[in-house]
Amino acid sequence: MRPLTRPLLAFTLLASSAALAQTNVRLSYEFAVPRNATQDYVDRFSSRGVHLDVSLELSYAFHLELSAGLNSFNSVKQGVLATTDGDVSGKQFRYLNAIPLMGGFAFHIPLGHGSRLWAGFNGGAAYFDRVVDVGLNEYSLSDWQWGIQPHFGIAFGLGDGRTALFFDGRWNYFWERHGIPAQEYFSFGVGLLFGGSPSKHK
Amino acid sequence: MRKVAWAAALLFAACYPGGAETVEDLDSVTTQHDASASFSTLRTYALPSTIQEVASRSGQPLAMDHSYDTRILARVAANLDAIGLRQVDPATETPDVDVLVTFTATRYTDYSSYSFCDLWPGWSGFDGYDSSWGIHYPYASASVTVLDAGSLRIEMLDQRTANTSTKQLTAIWNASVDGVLAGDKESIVQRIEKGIDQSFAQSPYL
Repeated sequence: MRPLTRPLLAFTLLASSAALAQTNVRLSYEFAVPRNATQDYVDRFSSRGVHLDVSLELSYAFHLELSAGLNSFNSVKQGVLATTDGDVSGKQFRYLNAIPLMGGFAFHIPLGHGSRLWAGFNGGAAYFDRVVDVGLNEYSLSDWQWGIQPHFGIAFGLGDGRTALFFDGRWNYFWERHGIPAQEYFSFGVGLLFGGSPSKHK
Repeated sequence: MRKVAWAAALLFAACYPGGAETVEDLDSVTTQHDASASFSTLRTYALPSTIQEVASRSGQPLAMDHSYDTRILARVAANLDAIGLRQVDPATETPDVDVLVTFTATRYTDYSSYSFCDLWPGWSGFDGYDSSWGIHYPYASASVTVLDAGSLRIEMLDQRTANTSTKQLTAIWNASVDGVLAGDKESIVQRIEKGIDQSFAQSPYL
């Protein structure tokens, strides 16, 4: 327990001091494109996603990032599904909800007038909820999977110095766990950034 | 700003995933088999000339129209013949497997009382009542019908491994053709025939 106390205390102080500095909150609507095993399961592009990011400036241009989101995929496939009940065929209505909860760091480059560029790297986990409806039956498989989320974005100030319109992109990759294959998808967001301009370099 | 919000709401609504749209979308075929069974050595089968009805453990059993038995059994026999098995008369020759076909038709109903004051809050017709009141139905037919479902089950019982001490035959393969009983009888039978074909198609080990 003791070895964890100091890092936790340091993190709390760091986070609270950062919160007193420049903080921005980004809320976005997201599209997502599945890749590889995720695409094998749901091959349709998702237009239902939302993301919330909180960015705390630790030092000039260097931010601690906390991120939570939801991306919902669905598709319809015809085929045979291997289940514990046997092999089941019929029209499969497939659903995948991904809920990534991540933390990491990012560099924010101020462009003036509330605009900025940023790029960062998050790590964490996501809860993947998979449901397949076939006939009158439903089969589901859900679990947490560890993963990474490199991201970038650009924001354009809306004139008041506190709000900006932004566009961002993420590569979401989550490793195989408990026999569930690795999950991968790209997501692209558009949203509003709320918060102050990056602090001036001293 | 309001127009943007409406556009966003419509976009979300338009993209919300739909489920089954037709009765056929709810059709499914489930097959199971004994992985240790020797399917490659099967040569003969026997098939009774009628489909027997089996009641489900839940729901209300529905009667089956047996005028289609011959047609459905012919489809099963055609698929068995297609995988290289030969139909025999069990009165004269012991088959390797008995193939039995049964049908279960069930009406699943659901009914629950509800708190009417919560659904019409403030309506003067309910003066003197509150949300703790419910509705009592003194008659048995106060049910809301959910659906009529049917399952055609095909089972392959291995006569070669009949266990005389436990008096058991092993079902080395079975298929269940499941769906909603809706539409005219001809369309239901056509969906059953399609399901029978699919049950053999998804069992390449036969």
